[in-house]
This record gives sequence, structure tokens and C-alpha cells, in this order.
Amino acid sequence: MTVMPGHRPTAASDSPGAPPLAWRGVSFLAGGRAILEDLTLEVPAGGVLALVGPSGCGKTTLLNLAAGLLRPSAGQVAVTARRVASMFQDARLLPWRRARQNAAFGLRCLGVPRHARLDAAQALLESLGLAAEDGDKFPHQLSGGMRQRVALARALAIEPDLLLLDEPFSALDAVLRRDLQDLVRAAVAERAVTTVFVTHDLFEAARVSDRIAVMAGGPGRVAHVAGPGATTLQDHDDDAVMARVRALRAHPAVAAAFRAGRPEARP
Amino acid sequence: MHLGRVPPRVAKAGRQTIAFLWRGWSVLVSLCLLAAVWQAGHEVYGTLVLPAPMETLAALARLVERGVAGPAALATARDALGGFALASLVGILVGSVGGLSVTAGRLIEPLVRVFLGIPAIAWVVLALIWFAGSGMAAVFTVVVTTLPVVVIGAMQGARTLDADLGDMARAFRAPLRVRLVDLYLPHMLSYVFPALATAMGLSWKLAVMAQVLGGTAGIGEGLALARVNVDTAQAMAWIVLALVMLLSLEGLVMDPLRRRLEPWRAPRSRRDAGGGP
Ligand SMILES: Nc1ncnc2c1ncn2[C@@H]1O[C@H](COP(=O)(O)OP(=O)(O)OP(=O)(O)O)[C@@H](O)[C@H]1O
Ligand SMILES: [Mg+2]
Repeated sequence: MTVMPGHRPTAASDSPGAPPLAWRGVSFLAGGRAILEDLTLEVPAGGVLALVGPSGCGKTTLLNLAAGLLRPSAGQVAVTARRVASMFQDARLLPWRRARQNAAFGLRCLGVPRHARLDAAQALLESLGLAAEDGDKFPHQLSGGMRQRVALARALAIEPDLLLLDEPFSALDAVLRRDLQDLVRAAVAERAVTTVFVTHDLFEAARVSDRIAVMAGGPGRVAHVAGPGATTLQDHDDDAVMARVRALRAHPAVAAAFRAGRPEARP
Repeated sequence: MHLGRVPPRVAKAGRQTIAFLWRGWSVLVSLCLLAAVWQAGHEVYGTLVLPAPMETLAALARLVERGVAGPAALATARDALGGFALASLVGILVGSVGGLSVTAGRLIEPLVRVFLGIPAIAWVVLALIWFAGSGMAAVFTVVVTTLPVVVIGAMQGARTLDADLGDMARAFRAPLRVRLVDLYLPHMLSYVFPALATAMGLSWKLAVMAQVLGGTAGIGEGLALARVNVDTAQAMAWIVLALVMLLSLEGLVMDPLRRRLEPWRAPRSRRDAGGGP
């Protein structure tokens, strides 16, 4: 297992049943202000956990802690997953590398030989809906949706057992967004990779996830966790999603969290 | 056209050949225009002021035959390229430090401005005083005048390193080698290369200038001699030699390099797509 630098592993996170990712009593200070305060959340193995909350409540900070890009000011971030992959709000592709090389970046970091990694990346790109010749293109020659597909391929290529997605589709239009949400769901279900999907849109959360954790801001904390309940993997048609969102909105903690923040999610 | 039937590789090679020929053709036309104006000037002002293009070429041929053109060209190339290489190395190092550290950047920036403001000819004079007779005057002049140009490029490159891409690389646990080769180097290159191209042209002209004034071996020395002998054809021949060398270096080395480095750049308006400069 790996524990974020500066934090000793605990017995609990070493036990076989330990979740792939857990924030335990995590606080994070930036510029003298508490961004997160005593936040505890476990991400159980398998399935998609959506992390919803108003803009600025600290979702990105929470994911950056999990990815090892930040260290908590207090508390512990326990990552027992062997391999963690991230996808960001903007694609963050290397502008001077072709789509195929970008998708192979994670494999390159793992030391996979050139031919093997480029072939794997190309196959993955095509399986995610890109045309064969798109692999040769530079990021600036791709549309926003295509770039996010490349970023998804880059994350999936390393066969992660924990996938961290930070509002990956918020810059895309509604139709494209639905396509990519379905794509992520299918890809994640096929590989049985534990996924944390951050979004400020309750609908998106209900569409892609099995569990939903609602965050409230100022300072960031978990306001409400909705378990899988009756929803199964098949339960993602529009009616079920609407029902889920309505049920969530009815919960006082969720309503309060979104009232306090800017009303980003659809009413 | 049924380009779809042609294998992409062949089509690409064909396009490149046509593009090359087109470039060659337009260069040829503009050179012919220049020669025509030159010839006209010759006919108006006479040989003493402006020898004809053919006379100049004949003078150049004589210089080559006498075995003076070759060594002079080599000496100038040594001064220009030696100074250029040194300035590039030091400039990239200093500029990177200045771009990465705010404090160092604050210290370096005024210095760069001062050095950029000093006229090149002043450096030549100083170099002649300091390095009289050692033959280092030309190299020194080249180094001090091109250094600030490279420093500025490298500093801008290091300053604009994309923190988001850096985070991405860290999230994927990229080893240092991968980060250098895939992240920092291409980014720095996109800023440093234009600076290097400028410095390259500058170094050539400065080497010749320092040689003219210092009388050290090289094309500049030949120019100085031609002036003493009031041999305008020979002076023009030296100029043509220097020009041909610089232009071939740019055409055969810098331009192909630039074409290799450039394709990832978005054409103008789509610059912001995909991150990076
Ligand atoms: N390095 C930093 N220094 C100071 N404040 C910061 C820093 N990073 C983030 N913040 C603040 O922390 C808060 C949470 O930021 P974060 O990016 O985690 O929010 P978010 O939930 O991801 O928002 P969004 O939905 O808009 O992406 C914000 O108020 C932000 O201004
Ligand atoms: Mg965010």
C-alpha cells in the first residue's frame, strides 16, 4: 500500500478489507484558510462514487490529496490501491505529443517499451470511439470531446485500480457529455475499477454513480452519503436518474449544501 | 484528384517535394530580382562603386583559387559558431535559473536589459582593447551580444512551464527522465529555439564585424584588406561568401529543425487549445 508522503500507514489501512482510498479526519489549510475540515470519507472497492458539491467546496482539493499532489494539513489520506490514474477538468495533454503518445504517457512512466505502449494506446483510443487516424493528431487538431477521450485512454491505459475523475466533462456540451458519461460507465464497469467521479452537477452524479457523497463548503466537509440503495448498474435510465436526484434534493443536508453554494446544479 | 488511392506516406512525400520545389522556386525568383537591381545599379554608378554581379562572382572565384577564401570562411565560422555555442549553453542555464527562481529572475532581468542596450560596436572596441592580439576578440563579442537574447528566451520558457501539466505528470508518477524529455525540454525548446535562431544570425554578423575592426583572421580581415586596396569587387565577394554561409546554415540546419519542432503548434487562433504555449 502507499500512504501519502508525510503520513504513516495505520493498522486499519493495512488490513485486507481496507478500502482502496480513504480520507480520515483530513483538514487542509491554504493561505491561512481552512479549505477542508476534519473530513472523513471511505471509498469502497468497486463501483463509481460520485462526489458532488457546490463550486468551491473543495472537491478538487480532495482529489489532489488522493492523487498525492497535495499533503493534508492534518489527518490521513490512505491509498491502498496499487495504481492510481487521474483525469482532470481540462484534458492536460502534452501539446507537442500526438494523441497516441499522450494516451501512452502513463505506460511510458511505468517503463513499458515503446512499441508495446503505443500499440496499446492506439487500441484503447479506437475502443473509446476515436478514428484510427486520430491517433496521429496533435491535441490542437482534436475537438474538446476527443481530447477528453484521449485523457480517458491515458488514465485507463495503465490499468488502474483507482480512477480519479475531476469534473472531466464539465466543459463539454450536453449531448457529448451524455455520450462520455456512458462511455466512462461502460469502461469502468468492464474493468471493475474503483472510481471517484467529481462533479457539481447532481444529474451527472446520479447518472454515472453507484454511490453519491454530497459535500458542503466553507470549510469543505461531507454533508450526506447516499448508498447504492436500490439502484443497480442497470438503473441509469432517465426516470431512475430523475428519481434519484429528487430523492437527494429532498434531503435537508443536500438542500442546505447547494443553497449555501452557488446554484450550479440544475433546479 | 484521387488522393485517397495513394498510400498516405507517398502522398506526404509528394506534398513535401512540391512544397520544397515551390520554396526553391520563389527563392530563385527573388534572388534574380535582386541581381537585376544590382546589375542596374552597376550600370548607373560604374564598377568602382558597384561591380556587376558577374564581376563579383569572378572575384570570389579568384579568392577561392588563391586558397584564401576557404581558411577565412573557416575562421569566421569558428568565431561565430564557437561564440554562439558558448552563449547558448550559458544563456540556457542562466535563463532557466532566472525563470524558475523569482529572486534570480529579478537580478538577471536588469542585467539583460543593460547588456541588450549596449551597442554591439562598443563591445567590439572593448574586446579589441581587452583581447588585443589573442584572436579572442571576435568570440568575445559574439558571446556578450548574443547571450542576453538567449537568456531572455530561456527565461520566458522556464517562467511559462505549465503547472497543470506538471501536476498531471506527478499524478502519473512520471520519473524525472520522462518529465525532462516529455515536458520540460519540448516546452523550453519552443521558447529557446527562436532565440537561438536569432542569436545564430547575430553571431555571424558580429564575428565579421569584429574581424574587420580587429584585423583578425577571417572574412572580416579579407573585407578590411579589400577596403585598403579599394577593390570593391573583392569586398562584394567577401560579403557574398559570408551571406551564402549564413543562409545555407539557416536553410540546411535551422529551417529543417524548425519544421521538425513546429507541427504541434496550433495555427494562430487555436493556440489555447490543449494547453501549453
Ligand atoms: N492553493 C490555494 N490557495 C488558496 N486557496 C485555494 C487554493 N486552492 C484552492 N483554494 C480555495 O479552496 C477552495 C476549494 O477549491 P477547490 O478547487 O477544491 O474547489 P472545487 O470544489 O473543486 O470547485 P469547482 O467545482 O469550482 O472546481 C476554493 O475556495 C479555492 O478558492
Ligand atoms: Mg474543481
